[in-house]
Amino acid sequence: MREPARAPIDREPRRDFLWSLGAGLVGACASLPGWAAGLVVFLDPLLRKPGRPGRYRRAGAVGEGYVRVAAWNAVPEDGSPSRFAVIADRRDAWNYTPDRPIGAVFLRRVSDDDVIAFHTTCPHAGCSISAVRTDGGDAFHCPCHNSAFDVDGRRVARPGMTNPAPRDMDVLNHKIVDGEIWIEYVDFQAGRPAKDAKS
Amino acid sequence: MIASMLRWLDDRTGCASCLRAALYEPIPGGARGRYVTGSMLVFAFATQAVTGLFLWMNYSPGSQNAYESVYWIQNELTGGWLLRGVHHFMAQAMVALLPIHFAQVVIAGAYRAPREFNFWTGLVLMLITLGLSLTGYLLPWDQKGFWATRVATNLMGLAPGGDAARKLVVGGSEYGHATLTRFFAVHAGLLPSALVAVLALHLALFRRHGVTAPPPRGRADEYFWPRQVFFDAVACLALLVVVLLLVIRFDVGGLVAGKLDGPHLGADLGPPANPVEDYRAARPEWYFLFLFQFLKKFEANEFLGAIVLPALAVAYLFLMPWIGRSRVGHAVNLGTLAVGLAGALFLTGQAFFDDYRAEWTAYRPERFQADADGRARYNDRFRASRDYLAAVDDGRREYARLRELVAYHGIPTTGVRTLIDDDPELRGPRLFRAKCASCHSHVDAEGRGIAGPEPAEGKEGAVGNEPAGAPNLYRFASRAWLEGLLEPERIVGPHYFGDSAQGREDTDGAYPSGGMVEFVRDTVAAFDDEQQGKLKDVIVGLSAEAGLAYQADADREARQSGAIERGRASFSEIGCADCHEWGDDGIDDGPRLTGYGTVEWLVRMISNPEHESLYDGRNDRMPAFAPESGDGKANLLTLREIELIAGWLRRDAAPLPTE
Repeated sequence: MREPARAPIDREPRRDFLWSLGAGLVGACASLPGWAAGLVVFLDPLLRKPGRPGRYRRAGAVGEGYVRVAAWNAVPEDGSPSRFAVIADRRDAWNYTPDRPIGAVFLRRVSDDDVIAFHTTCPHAGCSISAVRTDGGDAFHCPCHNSAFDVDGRRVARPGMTNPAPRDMDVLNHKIVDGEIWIEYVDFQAGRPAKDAKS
Repeated sequence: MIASMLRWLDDRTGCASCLRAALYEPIPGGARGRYVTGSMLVFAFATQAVTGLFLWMNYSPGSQNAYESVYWIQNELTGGWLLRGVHHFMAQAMVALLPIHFAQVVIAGAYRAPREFNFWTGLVLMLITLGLSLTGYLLPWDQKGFWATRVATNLMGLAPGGDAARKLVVGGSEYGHATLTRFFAVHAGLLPSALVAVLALHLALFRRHGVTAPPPRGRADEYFWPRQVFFDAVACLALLVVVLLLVIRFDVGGLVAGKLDGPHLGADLGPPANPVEDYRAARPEWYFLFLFQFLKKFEANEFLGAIVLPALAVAYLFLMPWIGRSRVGHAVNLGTLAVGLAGALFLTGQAFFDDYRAEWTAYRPERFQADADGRARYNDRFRASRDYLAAVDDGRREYARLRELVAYHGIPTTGVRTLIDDDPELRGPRLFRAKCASCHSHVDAEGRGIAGPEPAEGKEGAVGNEPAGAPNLYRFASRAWLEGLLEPERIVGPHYFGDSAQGREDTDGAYPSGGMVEFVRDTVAAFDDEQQGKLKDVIVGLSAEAGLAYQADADREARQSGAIERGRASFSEIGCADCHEWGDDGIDDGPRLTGYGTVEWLVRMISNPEHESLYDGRNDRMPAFAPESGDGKANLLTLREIELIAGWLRRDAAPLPTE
């Protein structure tokens, strides 16, 4: 079917401008709310109050944030470091699971009645540190980029290598109550000289 | 500077000229309000793509994660309810717009040459949109979506080769993880990309052929930009406003006051999928209700109603351009369209009426006095509507309780069903309905609750008519319950032993199987005032034995006032101890009343009423639900299930603290 020929279209710049402005504004009003609703939800992790304990988290028996990690007897007597899992209540988005492994610590006896506790995460880039026995004086070694630390967690240089760690190993607060070792388990931001807790 | 950068970009990409071509499309007769529906549909789809993308970031398909993650989006994430609400209602708006856009095209005759392909691609877009609706409905994995999808996929199994097709869609024989992962991939990946591709074709063809509508006389042509774009934008904004109003259920006052509450926050989320229980409120989304209702008319031949006729209808739509080539054909198309839309509207209305009949109309069986068939049909429909409404109500209650449970326990990795199945308040009545309600009722004074068997009224004395009822266990062991039990008239009434062997009077006026009934009817009936007072004390003391939470205040008072001590002392004085043992008093002939009504006592009773401390050798007909210890094969219920029933009877499941 042939459609009839039409006259050429007139355009009036002044009138067109107002219509264009209106179309742009109204169009923006219509298209932005969907994005806005989505972005708010996307930004939820930032909008939540940082460090707020999970709603279901039970306060530790010896203090807020402390979890029981090991019995005193389980830590080697000879002062060598040993790795222990940290079992705590875990909130994973919608799931809440009591008594799940959430991380690990090194414990080492430093006297007859005290220990030192290290985070097992390397302060360089966040890999997992291994406890090793070497002659070079290092007791901890990170397999990713060759960070090395002595038994007290201080950075040591391995022969022929530079130590990339910006700070010593992260020491965690602990309490010993009735022969049990409790740790205030906190994750720290890797890669910085300062020991900043992750929010 | 900017101009030269734009020129540089345009030289290399042609984007400016492309945009110009898009905006300066001539519209014969100028911009018009009625041309907005197509743009509204595109806008609705774009909104779905954006909101869907952000939902995707928080949704997890899987039968132990889908509902849980949607629950999280709805109740925990900042603004999650709004996002989900917009996605939910914009989908409905999109489906509602489709027939309008379609009708415009048909009325304008826009399907005719050379625009057939434009029309066909439009039909394909319509089918894709319906597919998106269907697949999206399952994703929250709530009761509604679960059962609606089961029905839809089962109907699919009716088609030739449908069994294999059903298995492919469901991802196996059972509905579960694989169903969700498949539906999700189809909903978020396959169908949207298909829609984008076909939409591009649809728009390109539209550009090629232009608007069909006959240009109105005396109006000059115009370009698409800016006036038509303005009209389109206004229409889209209006659509969005309507959707947002739907999301808050038109509670503008609450929004302004900052007090939007649960039911006004976005799309409904029902109780989670439960393949075990029947769900009498299983319905498709409202825009498929006409098909659902249509299918009801084909009970005898579902293949015809669910597959053949809808397929023929879609085939007809595809043939419309050829049928409409002549003037007569076009008229036929218009007529068919009108009949089809009216029919769909009518069926939708009928489906709603069927469901809400019990709410919208009064129950009037007398209208069918002369017509037994009509009355039976009417009763059936009324009952179906009541069932539907009750199921909707139950669902709301279950969800409300679930929120308490989640706030208290959190959601375990095994999913929310674990919480529901281990909660006396939710599981108790289900178990009661399944295992106890064939004899016992559980109804309050107004008759609300779980009805027992049909009352044997008027059947009494009929030869061979076995009494089938047992006591109403509503607030069992409470003071009110015991008071009723010990009243000479009520003990043989319908709520106690009126419909069981114990309450059957023989020709000599005795109760051969009911020592208790005889005691109440003869001895208690003759009590003087002093004895009545003692009986009251016994009731108070015995009821306190149960330690019912809802009676705790009254029990405490009674303990302080000495009523419980008096009750213990009166126990033997008024003759109870002749058959029952309570603490150190009495003999163990009838059921032992030490610990009466406690969980332990109820568990013993439900496990085995024949237990030596209970109806040893004189049990009427109550089955032993767990005669063996542990998980013996003869056990009809597990210990935990019995505890759930007992906990529910005792109404132990008080609201949990929320923090």
